[in-house]
Amino acid sequence: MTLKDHFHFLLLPAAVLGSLTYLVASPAPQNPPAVHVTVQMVQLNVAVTDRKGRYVTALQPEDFMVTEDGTREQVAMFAEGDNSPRTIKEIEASRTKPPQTTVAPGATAAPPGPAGEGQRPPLAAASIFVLFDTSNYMYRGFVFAQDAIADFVRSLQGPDRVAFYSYSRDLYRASSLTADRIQVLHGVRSTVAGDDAALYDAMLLTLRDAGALTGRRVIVVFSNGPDDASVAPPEDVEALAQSEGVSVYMISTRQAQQDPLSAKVFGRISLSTGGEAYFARNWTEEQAAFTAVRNDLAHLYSLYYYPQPNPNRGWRAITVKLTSQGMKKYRIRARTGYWPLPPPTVTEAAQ
Amino acid sequence: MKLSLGRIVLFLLLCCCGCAFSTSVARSEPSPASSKPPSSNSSQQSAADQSSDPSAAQTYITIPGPLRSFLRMAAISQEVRPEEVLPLFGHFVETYGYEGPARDSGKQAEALILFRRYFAQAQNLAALAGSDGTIRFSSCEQAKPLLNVLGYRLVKGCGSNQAIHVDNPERAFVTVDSGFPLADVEAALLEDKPFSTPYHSVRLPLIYTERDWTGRKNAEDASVIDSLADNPELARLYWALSQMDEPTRGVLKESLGVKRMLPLAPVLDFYGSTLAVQHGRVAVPGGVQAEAVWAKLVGADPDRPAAFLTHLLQKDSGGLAEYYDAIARAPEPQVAYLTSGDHLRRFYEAFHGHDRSDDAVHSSFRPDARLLLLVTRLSLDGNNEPLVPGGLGVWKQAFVPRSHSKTQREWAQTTDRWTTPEQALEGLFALSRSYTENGPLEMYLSLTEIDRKRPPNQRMSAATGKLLITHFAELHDQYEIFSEFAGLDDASIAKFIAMTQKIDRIRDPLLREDTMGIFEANIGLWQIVARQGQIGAADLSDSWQRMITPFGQASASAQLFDAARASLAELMSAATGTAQFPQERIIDLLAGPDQTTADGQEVRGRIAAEIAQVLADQRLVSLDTLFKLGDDFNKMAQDPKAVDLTRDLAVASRLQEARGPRPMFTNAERAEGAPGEKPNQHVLREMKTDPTKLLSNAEQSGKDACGALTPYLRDTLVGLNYAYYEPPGSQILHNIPLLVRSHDFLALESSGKDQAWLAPRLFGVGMTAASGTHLWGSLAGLPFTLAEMQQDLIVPKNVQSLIWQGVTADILTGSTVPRWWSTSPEALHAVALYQETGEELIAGATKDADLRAAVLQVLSNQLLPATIDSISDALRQGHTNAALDLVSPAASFHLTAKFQRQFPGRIAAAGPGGSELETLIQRDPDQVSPERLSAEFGVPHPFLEQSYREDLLDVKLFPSVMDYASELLAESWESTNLYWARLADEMGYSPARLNELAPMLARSMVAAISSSDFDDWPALNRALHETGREFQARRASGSEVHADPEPLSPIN
Repeated sequence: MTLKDHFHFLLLPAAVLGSLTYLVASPAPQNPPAVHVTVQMVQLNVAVTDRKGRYVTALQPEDFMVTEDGTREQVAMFAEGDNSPRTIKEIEASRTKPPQTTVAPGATAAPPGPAGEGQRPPLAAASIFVLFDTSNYMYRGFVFAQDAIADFVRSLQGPDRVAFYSYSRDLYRASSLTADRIQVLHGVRSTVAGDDAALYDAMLLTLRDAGALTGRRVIVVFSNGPDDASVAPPEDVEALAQSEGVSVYMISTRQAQQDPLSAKVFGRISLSTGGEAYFARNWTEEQAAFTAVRNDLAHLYSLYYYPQPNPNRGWRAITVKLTSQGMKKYRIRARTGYWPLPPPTVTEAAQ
Repeated sequence: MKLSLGRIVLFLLLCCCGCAFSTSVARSEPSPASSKPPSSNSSQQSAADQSSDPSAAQTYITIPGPLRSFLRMAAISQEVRPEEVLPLFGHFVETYGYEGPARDSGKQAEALILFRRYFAQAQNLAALAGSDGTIRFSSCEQAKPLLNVLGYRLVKGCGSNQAIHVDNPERAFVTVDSGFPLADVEAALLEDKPFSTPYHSVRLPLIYTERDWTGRKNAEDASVIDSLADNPELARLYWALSQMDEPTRGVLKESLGVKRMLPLAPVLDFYGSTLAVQHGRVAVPGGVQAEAVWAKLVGADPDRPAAFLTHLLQKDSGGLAEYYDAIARAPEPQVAYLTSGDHLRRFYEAFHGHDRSDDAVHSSFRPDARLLLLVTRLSLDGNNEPLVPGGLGVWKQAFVPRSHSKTQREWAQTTDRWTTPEQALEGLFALSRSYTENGPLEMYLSLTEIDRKRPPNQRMSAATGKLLITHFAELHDQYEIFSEFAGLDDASIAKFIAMTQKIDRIRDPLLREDTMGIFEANIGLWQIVARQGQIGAADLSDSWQRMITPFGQASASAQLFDAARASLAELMSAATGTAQFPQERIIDLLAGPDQTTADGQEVRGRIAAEIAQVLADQRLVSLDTLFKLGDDFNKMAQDPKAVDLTRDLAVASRLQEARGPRPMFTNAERAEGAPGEKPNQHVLREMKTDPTKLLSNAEQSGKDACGALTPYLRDTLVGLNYAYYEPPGSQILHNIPLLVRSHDFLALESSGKDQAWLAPRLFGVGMTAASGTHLWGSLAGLPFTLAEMQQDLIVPKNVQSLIWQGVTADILTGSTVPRWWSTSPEALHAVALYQETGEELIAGATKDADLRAAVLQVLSNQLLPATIDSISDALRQGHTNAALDLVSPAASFHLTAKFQRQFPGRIAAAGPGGSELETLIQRDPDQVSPERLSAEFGVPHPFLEQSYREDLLDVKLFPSVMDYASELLAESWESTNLYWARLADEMGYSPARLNELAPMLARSMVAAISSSDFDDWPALNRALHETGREFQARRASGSEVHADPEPLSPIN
């Protein structure tokens, strides 16, 4: 493995490990590039709230301290809410630090960044995958849940793209990723209920779809009961979500909470991926949960970093803290680490 | 939705198939001469499109609302033909309308309740639609009556926000479930635009008349639906009659009438489809020559159809009908044998015995398949005597007196008097109706498959027969390798069995499991390279025995490490001529034989990369690493300074990569959530491995330290097997990193009992707190089990598609096991021509009555009477495509092969395909013989043939039955690889490309299946052709297609 004096970076369309993967390769155009080293850019969705659950906005890159396996990492890119991520250099060049504020849950999103909506690079818009339980568990509340999801989809503002999938024993991609809300609503209203519930299989497949994208990606799962048909264990789903850098929000009904094990899984997967779990007792609370998810999406910070050299090919722990003593009181929610996926196998024929 | 009849999952069918209000694909009928496959018979006219084509003699009823909604609510595929709709509705009512205890109480199940709610709503919506059949509104106020029927309301009334919410959940549910375009209503309200949607009623053909089904003279159309919905036996009878040809239905109506037929509904449902009345007489199995023996058995002459059918159906509570049906489905040679002499009577008397039960009909599903398997797979020797593997003496001993089966105990008393194979066969017929686990019938079916492919002078010896029977209960799934390779001689079988016994005697469970894993993994690798032709036929037995021998020396982990290595060296030596085996070389070997073409090399390279990727994603330590460490450990015993410990520590640290994701549950939570499940000791052992300690131990104990590497060696060797059989588009092998290492070879930790050598099964499906789904059991049958595991991770195209699990796994297996490395372009072209010629013959049969008769006669060897009747009607009316829709690629292939055999040279006149094929046959008959092409483009039949050998069996389609679900149906359909090969040939791909195309297309096909019942093989035909069309279209458009998540991958 040799590192050349001059590198060029090729951005893979399908980022491996839920981060942006760059191949460092020989610049000689006449020769097929031999793969020398893989550097993975890690992206974190970070929510910062005060004790009352209000979002803390207008934080700056230097307000965050990120460590991976105890080693401090340098934030390379940063964004707040729907704003486009910018490099630290870009941010420093335009530095006029606004005062730190808090936004109550349910309030509107943080003010937009300097990049206009029309000029957003691909990283700016979030990709939101809604995964809807259409198993037998959902029979009674099925149509009410559809209403709640339809309201959620209609309420999403901005350029975020939404995909709507349903699952029972199998996954069904009712509406692929699109900014067209009407198309998504068609998907919502086309679902039908029945069969076993393979939640973790469906999450795994959805994560694979999300993992092929760049930028902020979240999965919002609406589940009404425990999994009874998956081949994939929840541990592997959690690991994949962490590796892909996808935040998982779980919205469940009281019926799901009656299964303590499932409730724990929902809580743990969402917590470890930087998402949140909600247990709604009725239809009104289901709608409130979707509203909370929408607000969260509008207030997440996006932090990107290139990990320092790390020989650990197992679990890598990530911690995110706020640097200022005065901010210690705030609660931080982000994924807690990741398990690097093996790089793609490259053969002579494939090259 | 993928369901398993084997598990008898009677699912709560709350909803139905197909996309909501999807667009139907209309088809124009080309001229008969223009039947250019493969797409010519693939475009399926939707039921709605065809429903306006009544014939004068046909009775019709009208149902309210669009057909699509009716089909959804009755769990019927959107792709069925109009004449299939009411029969499938009957099947829906019978199967799901009264399932469980409700059937006895007469209480309707939820599925039927929902259907009735829908039917009422459809009548209300039809009233709203008015005379022009259109539901419309142009303002918010006008929408309110419609919303009321649909069960919705405006959130805030008419005004600024006109979103809708549920008002009446029951109505709302059927609105959504039936696929009413609610989103369009919502969009029109939100955007304040007019809304309109067609809401036409539809006419459907009816068997007999309304009066027959309602008992009333002037019955309304809807009352036929009500009558069927109210009476599951009546619904079952309707379904059963639809499976018979028109003349037979007519005879039954005239002789019995619906009322008297009603008690016979179960018999007709299970066994009626093989009954056929032709030219005023029943066409009995065996033909005219067999009429007398059938007449004697039934008690009525076949030339008196009414009496014959009545007697047949009523006799022995359906027992004789079951027997008749099984023989009618058997291949010609077997039918000729069974209906000759007094065989028919003797075997029936044995089959029926003293039994007076109604086992033949009492369950909801057809009884198990052993009678069907016995008559279909019966092997006859050169003297037209049944093959008796090992000789009669073996089978006298197989009928042991100590048995749970009373029938077997009784027959065991008679064995002393046996002097002919027929007597043994009588005993087997008797057992076919008496369930015995691992009994003589199962043994006979298994050993026959081993012996039938051997040359007459190398038949199984009595000693081998006895040995196989003695160990049948614990080893029978292992015998499939002896069925696959007839070149494995008796000594090879004996050596294998002796080794299994030795392994079973290892006391340390972890060592025993490691030994089993490595032993089976190496056997699996041998099986792969032998199947790929990398071990010569003459060397099979020798290489097999040399590969097995080293395990005889392994009594400790370190010795097992060496034995595994020595065994691998023997395998590589047999396959490559050299005992060197860096991992890359092994992967290359598995990927396929060396290729001389650039195309072949590319494909092989990609397959090798995929195998390597699976090993990486499973975090398996490379063989190179393990053997390097092993070598160094050995050196340490001699001279510790000769080894670079720092480097070895770095190498050994890779063992830590084998650790899986962090556990999500505490031990207490796991114990509570998955009671009884024990942690996998093999995985735990690896999790605890400390490389530093390992090296420290190696310094002290030297060679013995290799034992610590043995578990990792097992994982990698097992992983190579998993990777080779990776189902297409596999998620499991790339995203469940502990899958390979969790394989429970002892089958104790998962099953609680020792089933170590049996086919692997899935454990942990749907068990949240289990350590993940994994396989327990052996590696025999691994391709099918991996396919079973993967199938629910294939995303169906339709919102809800009924796809039967057995069918799916079988189709996937059929694409992963066969490889086409040595297939010639001529063979690829020939197999396409066989299918094309079959279709040309069918097209020609529209204009030529003699040809039509010949074609139908040949097809009747494969297809059931109702299908033949439909094809005959279509041909008479000149509807080539309608006929082709009912003929699978395998049936086309066999039609040509048999036609050529019966009428040599006449295929040249069938059309351009036939002409070219005739030239090929003249030029090189062996290269393009049906037998050769069967071996090249067949499919494995792990259940029917108990082997993974590729083959075309040319048998009638099996029905779905208990225990085997739809696996036998899928295996007897055997059309996938024939069709993929034809696609490849017509699109200009090389045979080597088929190695990539077949799995990819199989995956796409599975996603496209939308079936309505267990025996819905036309749904397989539709999915097959739909996949082919889509593939051709993508290729033609030059658009990029992706392997994941979409099934079709880039092939240019």
